[in-house]
Amino acid sequence: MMNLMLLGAVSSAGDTLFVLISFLILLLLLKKFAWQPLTAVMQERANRVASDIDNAEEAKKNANALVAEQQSRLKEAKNESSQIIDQARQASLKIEKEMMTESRAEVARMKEQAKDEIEVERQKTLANAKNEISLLSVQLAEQLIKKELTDKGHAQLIDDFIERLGDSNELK
Amino acid sequence: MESESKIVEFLGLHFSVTNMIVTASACVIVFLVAFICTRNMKLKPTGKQNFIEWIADFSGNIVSSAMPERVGNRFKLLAFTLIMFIFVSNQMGLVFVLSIDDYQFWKSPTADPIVTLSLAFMVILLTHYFGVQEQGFKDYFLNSYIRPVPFLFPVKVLEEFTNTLTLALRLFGNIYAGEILLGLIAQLANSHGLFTWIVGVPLEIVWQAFSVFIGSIQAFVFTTLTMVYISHKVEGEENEKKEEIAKNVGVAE
Repeated sequence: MMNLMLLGAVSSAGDTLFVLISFLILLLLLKKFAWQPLTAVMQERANRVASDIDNAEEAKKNANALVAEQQSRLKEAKNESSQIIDQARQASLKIEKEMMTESRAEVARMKEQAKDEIEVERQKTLANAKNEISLLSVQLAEQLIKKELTDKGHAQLIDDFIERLGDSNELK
Repeated sequence: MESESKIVEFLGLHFSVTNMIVTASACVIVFLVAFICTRNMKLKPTGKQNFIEWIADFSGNIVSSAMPERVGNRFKLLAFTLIMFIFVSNQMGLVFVLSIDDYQFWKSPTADPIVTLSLAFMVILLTHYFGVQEQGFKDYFLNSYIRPVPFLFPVKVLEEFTNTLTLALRLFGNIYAGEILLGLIAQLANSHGLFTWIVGVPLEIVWQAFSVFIGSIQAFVFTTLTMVYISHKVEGEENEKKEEIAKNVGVAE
C-alpha cells in the first residue's frame, strides 16, 4: 500500500517481491556457503583457545607440583647422604677402636709370650748350668777325694751348694 | 540523471529492470565476496579470512549490543547479510551510473525507495514474527502496544508505520542524494570543457569519498536499528522484569 502511494500509478509489488526473494536467496546461500563454515571455524577457535588456556593452567600446576616434588626429593637425598656419612664415620670410628684394642691385646699377648719364652730360656740355662756345675763339682770332688760317690748322695750336697750360690747371686 | 527505468509486466506484476539488475548484482557481489573469503579457512586466520571474520564479528557485536546473547544468536546471520548487502548496494552507484536511451541500467539499488522500503518492510515484518514467536501472541500484543500505559496504544500503532518509513527513507535519502550530487558534479565538470574538469574532478573525488563514508554509516545504522526493533519485540518489559527478579533472587540465594 505504501509502495503504491509512493509510486502512484504503476504498482511496485513486483520490485518488492523481487528484492525480498533475492534477499532471501542471498541469506540462504550465505548461510550455506559462508556463515556455517565461518561460525564453525570461529567456534572451533574459541574452543581451542579455551582448551589451550585450560591446558596451560594444568601444565603450570603440574610443573609446580613437579618442582615441589623434586625439591622434597633433593632434601631427602641430602638428608640421606648426611646420614650415610654419619654412619660411615661412626663405623670407621668403631673399626678403629676395635683395631686398637685388638692390636693392644696382641701386643700384650706377644709381650707375655716373650716373657714366658725368656723365663723358659732362663730356666733352661739355669738347669744346664746346674747340671754342668754339679758335674764339674762331682768331677772335682772325685779328683779331690778320689773316692767313689753315688750320684744321688752327692747331688743333695751340690744342690745345696748351688742354692746358696744362687742366693748369693741374687743378693748381689 | 533522472532516467526512467524500463518496466516489464509479468503475471500482472510490474518489474523494474534496473532494480532487478542492480539488486541481483548486489546479491551476486555479496555472495562472491563471502564465498571467496570463506574458502580454505584455517584456525589461524590470514588475509581474506581475517576480513570476513571481522565483518562477522562487527555484525555480531551489533546484535549483542541490542539484545542478550541467548536470543541474539539466531539474528547474527541476518545482521551479517543485511550489513554486507546494504554496504555493497550503497557503494555500487559510486563507481559509475549507466544510462542507455534514457533508461538507467546501473546505480545503487538503495538509491531506489522501492528497494529500501522492501527491506524495511521485511525487517518490520520479521520483528513482529519473532515477537510473537518469542513471547506468544498475548504477551507480544501487551508488551508492544498496551504496556506501560494503555493510552499510548494509537501512538504505538502509528510508530510501527513510522519505523518502517524512517528506516527505509533514511537509507534511500542518503544514498539517493549522494548519487544526485555525484551526477550534478559530473554535469558541472562537463559543462565548460577542461576548466570545469579541473574543478570538477577533485570535487567528485571528495564527494565520492564522503559517499563511501555515508554508505558505510547507513549500512551500520540500518543493521543496528533492525536489531533494536527486533529486540523491542522479542524481549518485552515484563520479561525483562522477570529476568531481573530472577537475577536478584539468584544473587540473594
